[in-house]
Amino acid sequence: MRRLFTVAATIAAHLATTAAAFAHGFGPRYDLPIPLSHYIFGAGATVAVSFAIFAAFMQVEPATRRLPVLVLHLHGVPAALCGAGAAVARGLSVAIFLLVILVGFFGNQSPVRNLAPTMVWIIGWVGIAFLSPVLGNVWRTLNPWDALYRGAEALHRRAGRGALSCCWRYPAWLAAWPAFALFVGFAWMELVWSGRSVPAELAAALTAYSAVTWAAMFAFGRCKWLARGEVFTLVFGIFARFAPLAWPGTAGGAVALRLPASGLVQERPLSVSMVALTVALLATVTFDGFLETPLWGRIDAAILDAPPDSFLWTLLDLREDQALRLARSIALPAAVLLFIAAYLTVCWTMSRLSDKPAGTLWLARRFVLTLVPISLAYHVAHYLSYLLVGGQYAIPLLSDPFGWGWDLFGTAAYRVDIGLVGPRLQWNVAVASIVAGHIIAVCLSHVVALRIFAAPRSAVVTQIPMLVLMVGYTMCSLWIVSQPIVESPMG
Amino acid sequence: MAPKVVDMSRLFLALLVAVASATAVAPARAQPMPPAQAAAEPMRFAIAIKNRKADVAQQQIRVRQGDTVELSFTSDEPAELHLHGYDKLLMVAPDAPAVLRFPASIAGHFSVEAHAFGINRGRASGQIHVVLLYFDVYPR
Repeated sequence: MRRLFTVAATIAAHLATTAAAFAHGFGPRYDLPIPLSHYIFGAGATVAVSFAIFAAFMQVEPATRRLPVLVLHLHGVPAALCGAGAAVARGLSVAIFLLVILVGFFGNQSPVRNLAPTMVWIIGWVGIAFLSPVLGNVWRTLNPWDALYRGAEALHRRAGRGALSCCWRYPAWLAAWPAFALFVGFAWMELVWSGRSVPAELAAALTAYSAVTWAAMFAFGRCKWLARGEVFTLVFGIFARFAPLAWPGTAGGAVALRLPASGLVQERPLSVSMVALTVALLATVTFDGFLETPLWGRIDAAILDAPPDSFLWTLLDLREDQALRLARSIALPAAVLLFIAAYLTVCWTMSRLSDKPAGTLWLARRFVLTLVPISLAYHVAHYLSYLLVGGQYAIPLLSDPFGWGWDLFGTAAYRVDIGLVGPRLQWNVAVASIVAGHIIAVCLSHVVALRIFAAPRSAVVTQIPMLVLMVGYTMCSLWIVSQPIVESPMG
Repeated sequence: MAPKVVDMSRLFLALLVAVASATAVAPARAQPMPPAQAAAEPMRFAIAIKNRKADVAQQQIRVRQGDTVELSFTSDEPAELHLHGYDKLLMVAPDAPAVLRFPASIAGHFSVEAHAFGINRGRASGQIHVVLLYFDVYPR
């Protein structure tokens, strides 16, 4: 046992020297690119199926029927179990949140010996993004910022002093733009920021975000900020609309069973800011993959090979890693704008083709959620092995969260099994999820069209530009997973 | 002929089922095959590091899972090399070539990096590290 531990410590020490190599956020990826056969199959299926669905929907009359939903009312023991489960999950989430901040500030600063980077990037961000489209809005229960603020509010009430908020009126024009801005900032931190795998900097970022969140909750009220500015509530909320489970109340009550993805067909259109957020979500996951392609590797190489008198080194006086980060910092918002522009262009074309006097934004607000299956599919294709392999780091780290040589649960010597997700499984899952996501997206978009356009002809014709856009996004995803991963030299 | 009226939700469900079945039976045939290995003979690769780069022909090494692999490194300056994933460390110097021999038991895409030297052209190099080559192990 003792010897095992020494071996693990030696390995960890080796890893510590190599931590700079970690890609997106934190954690290694060893995925082989999908082979040509998979790529051709995926691309062919995407195009063929798009036409098949298009043809199938030409036969359908507009329908206003609601998609089937089964509501289960929970009483007695099931309700109590649900409530207790939620309370335990919330308690654990708050405990882990506080622990992550503590270990970030005071623990070992090597990213692989400290719990914080693994917990934030792999378990927290990627893990909850996987859970939400399956189990529904788990973040509403897990959100530690909400839980802690609610606790403070309860104490405040018990002391006989009303709501814990100065109840300023939230400006209507601001909508969900704060969440959009925070999300682009978050994506920058995940993909560009030099402190993303440095525990103390990560803890500082969490603290700063806590301060912003709680200040805004105090200013505008907890619920208002959760609906407009708390970026993870909105992002995981978008993913959770895909889930076959919907939890209407916060404390048990009822649960609705529905067809997967049917929650994305909304009666109420989204706000323009939520449209921007939804498209940004698609843009940033795709951009993450793009940064690991040989194409971006060439951009990196060109920057590093810039002549000594280049403005990068003279005028801007950058270090090499800073120059690489600068290029990413420009390209990330550009990618978001590009995706938004592409979507709006399609909506504009649709508005030209429709029989209704429907404006570009009017359409954009109604169709945007149909893109969500494409981002989810890419998320699965890109992150499955990352979650299952990288996530294993949490097993030893939970026993030794500070990296001080503890062994709380006897798992500190656990060695990560990097062969857990074999290439064949990963390739098949990647292509299957991308094609499935595409099919679902195309179906949803047709369903929405049939709902909002009176004439079937109009519903069908307007789908042509949307189909082109979706095939484009899907090909983009397929192309990225067919490219060999190139590690960033920037760390 | 009037368009046929189809129950929307049933159509939706049918399509979902079609998706699931189509994607389940789908992929996995012709994989790109790295050269087959002669029984028990290790796959040998000689990698010469010059100017902090591996020769272009050696920047992508492909083997099959289960092969025994022998990587021999020579370098024009001292460096510490790290094969990620397999987590093998070794030192190489101009007068001391390094040989790494191991069974390629895990499939995947792994980088070999040089840690001890970093690109440095007079500017402080920050956290730049150098990937010398990728070592790809394809499943059988």
